[in-house]
Amino acid sequence: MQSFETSSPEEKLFAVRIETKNRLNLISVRDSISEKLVFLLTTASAIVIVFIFIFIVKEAAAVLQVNSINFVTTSGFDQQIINAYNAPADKPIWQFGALGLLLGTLTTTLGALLLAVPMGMSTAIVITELAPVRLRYILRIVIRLLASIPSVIYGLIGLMVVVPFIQELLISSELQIRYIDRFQLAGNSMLAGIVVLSIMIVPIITALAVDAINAVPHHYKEAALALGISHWGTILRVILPAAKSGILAGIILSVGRAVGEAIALSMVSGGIGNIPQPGDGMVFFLTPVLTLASAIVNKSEIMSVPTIEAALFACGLVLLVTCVGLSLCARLVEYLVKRGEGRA
Amino acid sequence: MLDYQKLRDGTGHVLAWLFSSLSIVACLSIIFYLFIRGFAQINPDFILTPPNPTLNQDMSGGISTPIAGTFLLTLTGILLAAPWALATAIYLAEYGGSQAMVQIFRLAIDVLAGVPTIVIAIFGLAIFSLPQLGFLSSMVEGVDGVERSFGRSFLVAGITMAIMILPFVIKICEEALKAVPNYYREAALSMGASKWQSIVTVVLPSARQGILTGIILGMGRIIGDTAIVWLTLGGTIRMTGIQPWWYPVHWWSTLCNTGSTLTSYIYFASPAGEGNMPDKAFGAALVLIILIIVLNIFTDLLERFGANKIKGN
Amino acid sequence: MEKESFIDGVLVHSQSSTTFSLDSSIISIQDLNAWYGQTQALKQVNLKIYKNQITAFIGPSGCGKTTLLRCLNRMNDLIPGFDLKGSIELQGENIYAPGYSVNKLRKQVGMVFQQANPFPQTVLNNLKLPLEENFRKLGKAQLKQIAIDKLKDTGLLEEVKDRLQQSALKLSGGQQQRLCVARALAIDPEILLLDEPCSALDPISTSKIEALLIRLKERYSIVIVTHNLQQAARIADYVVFFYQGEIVEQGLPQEIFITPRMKLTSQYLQGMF
Ligand SMILES: Nc1ncnc2c1ncn2[C@@H]1O[C@H](COP(=O)(O)OP(=O)(O)OP(=O)(O)O)[C@@H](O)[C@H]1O
Ligand SMILES: [Mg+2]
Repeated sequence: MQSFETSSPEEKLFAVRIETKNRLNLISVRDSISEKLVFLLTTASAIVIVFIFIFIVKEAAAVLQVNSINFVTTSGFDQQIINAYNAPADKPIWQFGALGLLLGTLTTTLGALLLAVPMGMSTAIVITELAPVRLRYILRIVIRLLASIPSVIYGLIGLMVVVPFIQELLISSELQIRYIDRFQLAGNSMLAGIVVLSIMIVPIITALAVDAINAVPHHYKEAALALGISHWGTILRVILPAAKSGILAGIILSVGRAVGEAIALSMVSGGIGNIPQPGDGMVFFLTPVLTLASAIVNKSEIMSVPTIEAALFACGLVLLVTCVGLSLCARLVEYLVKRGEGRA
Repeated sequence: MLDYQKLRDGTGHVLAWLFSSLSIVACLSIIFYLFIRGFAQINPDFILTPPNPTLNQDMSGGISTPIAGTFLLTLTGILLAAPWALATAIYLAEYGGSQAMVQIFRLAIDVLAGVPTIVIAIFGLAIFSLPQLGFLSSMVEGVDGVERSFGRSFLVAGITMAIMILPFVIKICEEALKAVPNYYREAALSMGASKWQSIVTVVLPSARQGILTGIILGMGRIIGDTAIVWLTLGGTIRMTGIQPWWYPVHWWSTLCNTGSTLTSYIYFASPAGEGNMPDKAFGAALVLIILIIVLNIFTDLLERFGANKIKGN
Repeated sequence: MEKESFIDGVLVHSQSSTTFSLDSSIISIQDLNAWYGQTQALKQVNLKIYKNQITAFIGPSGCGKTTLLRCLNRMNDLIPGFDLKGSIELQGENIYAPGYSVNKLRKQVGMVFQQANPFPQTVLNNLKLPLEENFRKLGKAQLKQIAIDKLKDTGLLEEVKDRLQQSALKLSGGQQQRLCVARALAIDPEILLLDEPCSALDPISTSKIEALLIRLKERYSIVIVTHNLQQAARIADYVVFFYQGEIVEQGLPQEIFITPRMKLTSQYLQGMF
């Protein structure tokens, strides 16, 4: 206090300058620390995917070394799991072939797409173009709700409603007896999986298609209507083509979702890795199947056996590679379409 | 005369309405069915008693610990994911320009968004089974006699959940930040604020609605996920930490041990799981869907509030 | 017989009024009032559009030119809250009568927007799409021939003949605008509406479009909105001056530009607002 009063004006000014300089320093130090921290966390977010790859490859390595490409070209997964489980700890069995799971994944996904794409696209068109404004709002809420219903609930309802329904409607005891050597027909089937899965991905396709259609500049629509083209013609020939990249990206995304869906399918699709035979006619769809993702859930309880653990991680790796491929594909499609239109 | 265009337009309209009603009817009947089947189960006892693993449906108790588990897990997950995602979004929206590095970051996060939750679940299991990370769960002896980490606990599941929702929350936060007009930032900077100050004092507050929406939607995802819970929290129905698990002194133990959530309870109690008590599963499913609906209403209100505010300005 | 005169350095060039026939109106607008929600955009508009003539709408920004233009092919139906009273008759039929086919109307009344809006598809597709939608029965070769003809009509063929399969969005602004004119002509309308087609164009593209319009009026009746008074003077056969939703004055360009009767008109022409 005393010294402050006696100090000259110059000294005071000097003190103030030092102080502001320190404060400025403090601010810039804080700024650079924050920026570094934010950068670090961003790097962490980006590097997670690399870690996922490393860890899953590491865990799956043993199975992949033993089976190499045979892992995806041979079948018999269920029996192999039992063999591996019963093998003595000093003579582990590493033979696995997940072709059945691959086909189960493929058939359920394709089937679900076949149902969900027209449903999702129609809903999107109704929401963006056809419905009156009030109804649009309600529909959007319903779709959002549908998108946020947990998969286990879809699984539960599939199991309690869809599966018995299929059994009652399509499976007779004669049919069951006819196929008893190959598998048990019980309603838990590829068809049940397709139905449940398609309802699950409809909201994804719808939401992304709605965004894509809404992003189409209004003047394309005006141009088409002003040419005397009907509303539906405008939707079909101008609006949807202009929204194509977003719609395709959405469909690809929903494929990823369908391929990776584990819980709901493990509940309704049968849980056995049969290879559906097209020669079976309708029974093709009634075959109990197992998908890559649901296999991981179904067999997770015996994961403590290292061979089985490695086999399940190998399934995970196939899934991971597929889905990463799909993500990249979605980006590529978006880019290519935009470039074709001269917008990128 | 058959006019191609009229025919096409007519069928188009009919099909569009038909298919869309189908998806709407599907949604409404799911909700309706859940209410019908679940409503009979809902009573204070069901909500407040812990489940009891038995095959007798009448003795199997309620869902108090699964509800608690859901809250615990959601809280852990979002507390980890929110700051992490926000920081990433800040970097991408405020600092990152269009350099190659940022493009790669974006691509990596984009790819992460497409990874199925089941894959993230086994990744969580793999990484947290490392003995070095045993402190997050508990140590067990493997079949080969080697000590390894159990790799399953609320903490482990929470971290895995955080990874699962990370890209999703990042995206919403980034969009919220990008929606803040540039002149807000310029005004702050011209008044002598540093970049970080302008972010903290101007950008984040104006984007808080969007950020909050992202956080709530992220919570919804955690609440609804089953695959990660099943693999990294396990199929145990009761809390396995030191009892009583809710004593504050036991919290760390509770977090480092396993339990259940509503979703894993539903899976367990469904005919697909071991419990096989579908009525209880429907009761829990109803509670779960109500939680989800409440979150949905929240985001809807937030959105409308946000829209009003912009109009008001 | 052509007649030229200068007002304020503006070259007025128009055909002699002897070729101008007031009987041959194709559209007749009576007591038209239009609202966007609560705000009235058009008040008591009475106007005739003459056959094979160029009618120009002029007036300050926001005076309702676009609104009236969009009433003529019912594009305003798309705007929620838009409301209209009065009648617009196309060849004696009220286009707002219930049951009147909007699609048919729009085939007769083509429109070119202020902003060039080709579809994000190939140049050729931009022409083929409206043709396929409107003339289903024509064969593929015929469709292509018409498309080529329309490109020729608009003087675009030479410039884009190597780029027919490229995206129309890669053309220059002026080329895009002429493509839009070609597209509008492709469906063979009787009337062509143009909303400030040259507002974003350089003088060369502008004069190309003007020349095009003068050629086109042999076959079409044309309505053009423009802010460019010189342009109106150069090409119009009939000029309508709007102010705050009302028609202040309408008549032959000589009358409007040389001897305006209303004070508002002369003020506007002198650039006072
Ligand atoms: N979609 C709309 N919704 C509400 N009001 C509108 C809409 N379009 C135009 N208006 C209003 O109607 C009035 C007339 O607009 P219009 O677009 O017809 O003017 P204009 O003469 O074409 O002007 P400009 O020369 O600037 O294009 C204006 O006051 C405008 O604000
Ligand atoms: Mg206008």
